[in-house]
Amino acid sequence: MPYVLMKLFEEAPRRFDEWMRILTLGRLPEIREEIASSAAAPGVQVLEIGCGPGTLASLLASRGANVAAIDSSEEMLQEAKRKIEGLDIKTRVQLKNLSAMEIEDQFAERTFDRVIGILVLSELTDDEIDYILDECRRVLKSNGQLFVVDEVEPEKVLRRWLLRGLRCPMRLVTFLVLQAKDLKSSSLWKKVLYYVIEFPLMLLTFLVVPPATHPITDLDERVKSAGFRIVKSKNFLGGTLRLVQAERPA
Amino acid sequence: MTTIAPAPEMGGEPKPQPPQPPQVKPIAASLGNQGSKAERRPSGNSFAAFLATIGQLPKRIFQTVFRVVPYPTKPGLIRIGNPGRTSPVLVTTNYDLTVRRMLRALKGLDCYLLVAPSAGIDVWCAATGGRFSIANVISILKTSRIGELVSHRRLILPQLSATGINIFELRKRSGWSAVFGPVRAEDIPEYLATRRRAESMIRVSFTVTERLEMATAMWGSLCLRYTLFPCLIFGWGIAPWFLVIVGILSVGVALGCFKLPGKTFVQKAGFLGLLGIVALVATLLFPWHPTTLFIIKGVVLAALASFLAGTAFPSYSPLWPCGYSKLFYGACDLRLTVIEEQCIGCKICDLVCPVECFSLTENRKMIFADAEICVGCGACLIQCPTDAIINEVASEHRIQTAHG
Repeated sequence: MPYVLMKLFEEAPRRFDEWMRILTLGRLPEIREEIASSAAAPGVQVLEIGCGPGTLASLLASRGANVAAIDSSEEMLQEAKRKIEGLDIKTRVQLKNLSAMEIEDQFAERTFDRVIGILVLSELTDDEIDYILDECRRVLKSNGQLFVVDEVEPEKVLRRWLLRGLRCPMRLVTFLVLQAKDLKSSSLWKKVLYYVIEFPLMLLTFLVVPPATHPITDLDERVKSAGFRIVKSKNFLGGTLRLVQAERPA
Repeated sequence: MTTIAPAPEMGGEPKPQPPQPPQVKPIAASLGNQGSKAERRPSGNSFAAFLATIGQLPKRIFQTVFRVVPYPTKPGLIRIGNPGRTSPVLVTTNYDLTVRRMLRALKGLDCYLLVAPSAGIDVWCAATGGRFSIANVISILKTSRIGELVSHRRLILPQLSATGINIFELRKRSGWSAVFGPVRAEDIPEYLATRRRAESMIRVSFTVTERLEMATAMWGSLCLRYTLFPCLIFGWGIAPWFLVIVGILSVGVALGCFKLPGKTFVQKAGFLGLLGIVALVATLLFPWHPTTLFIIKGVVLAALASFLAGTAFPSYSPLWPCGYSKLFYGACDLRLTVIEEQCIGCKICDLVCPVECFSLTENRKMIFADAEICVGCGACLIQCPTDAIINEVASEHRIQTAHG
């Protein structure tokens, strides 16, 4: 599935989870459960990068883990706060407005038993991905585990081209809709006028500028070259979504 | 246009890569080697350079005509010359043209250039639109591992990034202190030599060359946006005429922006359009003249083109606020005031102002002296460390981009 649409739903934190469930054809809640059951245990220290509205963080905390959940979007964190407010797990979840690039400044070496990132890497540049994987290893204790779930290019050629074919129109839709992001306060006729005037330039920009999210190539290889030992890899949705579980060697 | 001679190594890459597209080089090199004699080598090399320039031509033309379209290049660390542990660290955005101009300006110096990921947009637009922010600077600081290469923690930011990067906040979040360098890349060598920004380095200019550049960019985007509409009425045959008329008016308005009569740019462009219309109608007095239909078409095109060029021009200038953002984004006018009690006289507002709105009073406080020339970029509002500058028009300020 083309998760490029995710960029659209990030604008609406309240319904983000619901949209992501649809976008992953119902698999994401399942994947979260799977991660929570193997990652969380009472007293385990977990870092979640890009926690969004805090769904996984509360799952982990309800199993007794202490979770540091970071996200660079203030709106998402507000939503996460709303979600865990009033629950007894509140004390075990620490929300922080922090981008993935700032982990280094906030967390000391060998702080966590688990580091988890769901659909965060695909929004970053290649250099950023390698840097963050490196940081994940740094903040993990010996034998601590990393869980990454992200969009990948399917290994089978036919499927890969199918995905690319599917991504292209989705990308265009996402791109065009996001163009109106700053026009929220404008009236309808202004929006229509805006699209009529700007459409050719939008199209040209679309062709020149790389997409906001991109499937990750060689996810396993990159995790390995960041100094991890792969414990388990698993494909979902025809090989478009991949879960990699890896361990920091002692 | 000249080519950039230095082939800087991209940091963090296993293989050093020159900034030119790699496919150009092998072809040029193989052609250059055809003259196998040793003495023909130099001419072969310059021929290779010539071919490389030709290979770059489509990109250059695209970037000139469609200047408003982002054109990303790879973010990363570029070593200029032979930098050491105390060499200066400059930051810029990953707009291809910006990086190329930086490389050209920095030729012969020893320094590090950090190309931050900013969606392929130029410094001023990216900073104002939130694509060149503290997060982007932090990203490039981390991925380039520049902290391991230099012993200091001091960045030189382009001055026009002041609309998006609060340097006090940057220091708090990244541990790097930052100063603003000159507006234009060409001034960087002098700035690095003297460590002083002359008045001319702080303010934007709008020279004839710059105006022609922007006229070309405006022509490109106006043609791309609007050619369809006259064609729907008069048929496709009219398209070349439209391109020509828009071209003439774009150049006319840009060159005459200070001199033409009229208060607004629609009036100024309208004046030019009117001259054309009068000339066209005047041909009726002569025994030989174009058909009436031709004249009607000409009048409509001239009127349309002068309206379009007039409304668009401020967006393509560094000196006048953009009308588009007001219409579509609901950006309001900026009418700024400095709250005297809160002003500590640090002068940062003046040091980031691309025009010259501020002046110092006798008791060492700043005042917003010249509202007429304010471009509404919002740099002073972003930078003021004590929030002493407020916008009278709206409490929640929305920046009006001066640059498209």
